[in-house]
Amino acid sequence: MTPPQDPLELFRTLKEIRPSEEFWTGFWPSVRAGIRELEMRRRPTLSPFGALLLGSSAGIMVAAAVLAVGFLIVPALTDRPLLNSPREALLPSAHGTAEQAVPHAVLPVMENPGPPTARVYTFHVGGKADETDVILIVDESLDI
Amino acid sequence: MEERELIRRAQQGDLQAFEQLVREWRDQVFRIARQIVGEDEGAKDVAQMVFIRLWQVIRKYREGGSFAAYLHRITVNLAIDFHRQRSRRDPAESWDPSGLDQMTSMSGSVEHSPGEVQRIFQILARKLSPRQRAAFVLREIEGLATEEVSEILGMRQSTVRNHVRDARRILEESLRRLFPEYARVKKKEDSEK
Repeated sequence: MTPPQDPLELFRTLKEIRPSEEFWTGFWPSVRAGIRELEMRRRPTLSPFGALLLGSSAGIMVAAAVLAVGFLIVPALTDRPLLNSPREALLPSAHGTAEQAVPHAVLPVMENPGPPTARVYTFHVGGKADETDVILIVDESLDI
Repeated sequence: MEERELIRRAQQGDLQAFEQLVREWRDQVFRIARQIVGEDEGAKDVAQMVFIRLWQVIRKYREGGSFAAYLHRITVNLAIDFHRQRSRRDPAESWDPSGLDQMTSMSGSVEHSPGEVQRIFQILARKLSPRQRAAFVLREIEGLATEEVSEILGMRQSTVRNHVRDARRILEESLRRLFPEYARVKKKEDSEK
């Protein structure tokens, strides 16, 4: 090769240099490994045991939610109409306090529910022969 | 398969299509990285990083834009980062006069191989800033238009022209001084152009 007129022409020949096919051996596998590593890092890693545990926890939580709905919320909703029974006159309003709620003269003697914020609901259940009063005391501070 | 189709497939996660893209672009990516980084193994590492990065961001590439410019931008940025990190680790890398004696003796003959030219460029280019080097490589070696270089480097065309002009001046002076047998005195009319 003869030196070109413009000295920097010399460097334009660098564009023609191509590495051999051998030079690229292992190049793509390294790129692919890098890509996989990157993707592994992006995904949250979960062992099979962790996945099982997570699955079980989720299942337990769903089951607990269903039970809560079935046993607590639905009965509470269906019981509400009872408050309109003839005994309603004896019951406090939903905002009444425990002391106001239970007139001792009418209802059976019972333990003092304690906190004045407690709400007392009385349900009248059963037929005429086995008529029973069910008294429900609700308060956040009651420790059962 | 057409490049556009390969890109579309790669955007959808097709690794085979992406491998094809890598095969088509690896020479150019490597070549640009080598001129900026200054050595083959480092440039190969940069090329690898470029394609891994490309896989990460290829979904963001919008059809209609220049894929070459998109890829070159990644290449130049990673190559400059690599070069800076290495220079920080080993400051002697930025200018290593020890290689000069070896090169001068190598260049005793006027005939020279492309490998020898490569080595000369690597020695002389150490005097350039990373941006000057990148602008020179893209404009003068790869032969891209100033507009494309400005897009790739994210700088004004006037800045690109300044970088290329400064790089040319530095390289030319160094070449005349250190490797005079490669730098014939230009005719007056050539220098006036």
